[in-house]
Amino acid sequence: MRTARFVALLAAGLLAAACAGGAGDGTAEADRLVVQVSGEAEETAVYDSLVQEFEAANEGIDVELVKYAEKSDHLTALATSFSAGDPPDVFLVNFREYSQFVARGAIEPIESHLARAGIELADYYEPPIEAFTYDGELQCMPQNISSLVVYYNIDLFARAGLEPPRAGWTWDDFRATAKELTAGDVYGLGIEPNVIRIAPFVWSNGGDIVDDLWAPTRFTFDQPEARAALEFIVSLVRDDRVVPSEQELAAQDLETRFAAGKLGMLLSSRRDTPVFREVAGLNFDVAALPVAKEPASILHSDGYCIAAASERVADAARFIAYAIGPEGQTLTALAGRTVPSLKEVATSGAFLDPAQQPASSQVFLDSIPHIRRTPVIPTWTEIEEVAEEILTRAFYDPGYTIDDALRELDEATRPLFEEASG
Amino acid sequence: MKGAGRLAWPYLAGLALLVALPALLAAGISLTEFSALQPPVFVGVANFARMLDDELFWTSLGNSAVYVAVSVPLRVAAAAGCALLLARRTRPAGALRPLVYLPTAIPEPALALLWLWVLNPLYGPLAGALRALGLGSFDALTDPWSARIALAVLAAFQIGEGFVVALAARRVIPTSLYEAAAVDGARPGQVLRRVTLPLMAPALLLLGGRDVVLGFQTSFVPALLVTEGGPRYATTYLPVYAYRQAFSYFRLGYGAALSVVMFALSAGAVYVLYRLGRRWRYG
Repeated sequence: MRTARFVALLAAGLLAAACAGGAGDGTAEADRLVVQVSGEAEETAVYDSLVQEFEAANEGIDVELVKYAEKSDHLTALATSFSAGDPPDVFLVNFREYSQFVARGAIEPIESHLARAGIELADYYEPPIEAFTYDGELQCMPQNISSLVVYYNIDLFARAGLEPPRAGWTWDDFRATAKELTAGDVYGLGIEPNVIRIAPFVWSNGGDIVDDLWAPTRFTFDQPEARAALEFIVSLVRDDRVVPSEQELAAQDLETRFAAGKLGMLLSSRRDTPVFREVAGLNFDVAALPVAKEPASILHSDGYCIAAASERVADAARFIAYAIGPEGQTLTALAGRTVPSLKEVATSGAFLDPAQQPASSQVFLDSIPHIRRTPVIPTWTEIEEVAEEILTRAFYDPGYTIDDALRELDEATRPLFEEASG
Repeated sequence: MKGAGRLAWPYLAGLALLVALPALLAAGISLTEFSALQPPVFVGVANFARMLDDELFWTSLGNSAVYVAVSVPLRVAAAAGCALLLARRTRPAGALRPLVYLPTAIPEPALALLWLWVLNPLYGPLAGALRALGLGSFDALTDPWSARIALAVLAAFQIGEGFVVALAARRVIPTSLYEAAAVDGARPGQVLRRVTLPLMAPALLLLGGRDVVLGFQTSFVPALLVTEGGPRYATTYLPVYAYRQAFSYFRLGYGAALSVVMFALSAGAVYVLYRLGRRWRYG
């Protein structure tokens, strides 16, 4: 959210000033295990508790937690610290982002270290484990198996006289609901113009986003099923006008709008839960994505990676084993941040407690059988950024057609797919 | 003379260590493919050849050119204008002079956040003022040309050093010239055009040239924090693009090549300035 970002940037500025003024405490840092994560303050608070609990249980290991509010800053800091030869020992990244590090030999494969710590991979959900497997080996250990769901405002639904969305609801239901909710300064739906929001609609319609998940050479949004899904989303924005305009979003982003009770439904993953829980008076729940031909959702998963350059690999593995073990996962699940990747915690009250919002957390578990993912290739983050620019135009630029978008999307991303395979 | 020379040493050492050496390294890296995670591989001028076909490179070059073309005249005019208005040794002028310098003393990220608030298309004071005056809207965060103009205009608020230089240039103009002009019955406009501006011109030219070079640098922070290079790449300036290539996409070789191009453009600007300055002095 804008305010959180404002404060975080301000804090970063002050911190930079403080670092520039003070002397670097080099020795202390060398003794500590450095763990780097990203997220808004409400999201990352849980990692403070995780570190505390870990330190209490592991005498002699001091952890320094480095937090970035913006994911882009987190990744840039990783890139620069890697190039400076001083990366954090452990870092938490999305499966869509880790391959650029693996492909360049920057990650210490985690599989053998976890085996030594007695971690049984069979106790974990399979999709994120598969996503973090590269060159036949588990590279980073997923902490969660989140996916895209519909967050909805219970009070706005009640005011519009609408029933909560049920599993298996259709695209038509979805459109009608969004229209019913749109009134005054309230919009029915919040959806970002990017690949990971649109992909599950493509899959649900029986299409695909790339030609080959393991060796993609191009986007396939031009195929009939995929194109129809893209057209459906774009028509919600352009024709039905149930999504805030670009200008309104520049003024106030989707999360802030939802938190302020000005958005009926928001497509997002579990990561927004801790933020929304903190908002007084916000009554919300989650529902499955609407279905066209078959149910589908998209994997959102972050994994703990160990830097190949780390001099504290053993301690790093101990920290990760703790974080993804029953105690660590219970902690992060209670805070609302994660859909645990460890089955026994995911099905426990720590995650499913109906007294905590969202009451229907089971929705996340129900979507697991239908979960799919984006390709894992080193240029993927750049491909997503390029695609977002083009999809933004498809959403909002007058006169910019789906055909324009499809053509530009192909032209702009083909070289990047090629670069990844070459 | 000797004492003054000794004073320059720390600066020269700093320049060598912080500017010259990294510039040389960048020039070397620009001839390689370098991901920062693996050793660089020599590729000759491939990175420079890549630019020819790179649409975003040309876009960012054009954006930087627009930035310089709008911001430099504005900054020089603002610095000179403020200097002329506040050159008198009066109490109000003395009180206002620090105010002109003040925005320059604010750290750029803090200023960027302030602008983010000012430019908010619905809740910002600028939007509010425009609405109240019935002047429509100004969408610096969603409209490409508005964004280009906005960032160039923002640069005209940080003119502290230019203001001080222009103020000094105005103050060294001998009062006898103004007295002579007054005796000849010159009107204020004539005095400005015939006396003040020509005598300040070398200093203003220097400021302009410095701003051209600086324009490549000063556009970076607001573009990154206020507009995030957008909308539609409108504020993806050359340094922003070089930074993204190097540190977001692990193409340090290409990023270095882009900064070498930036360096060459700056050097060209300095050269033109040098030639103009010489002609001024001897012509």
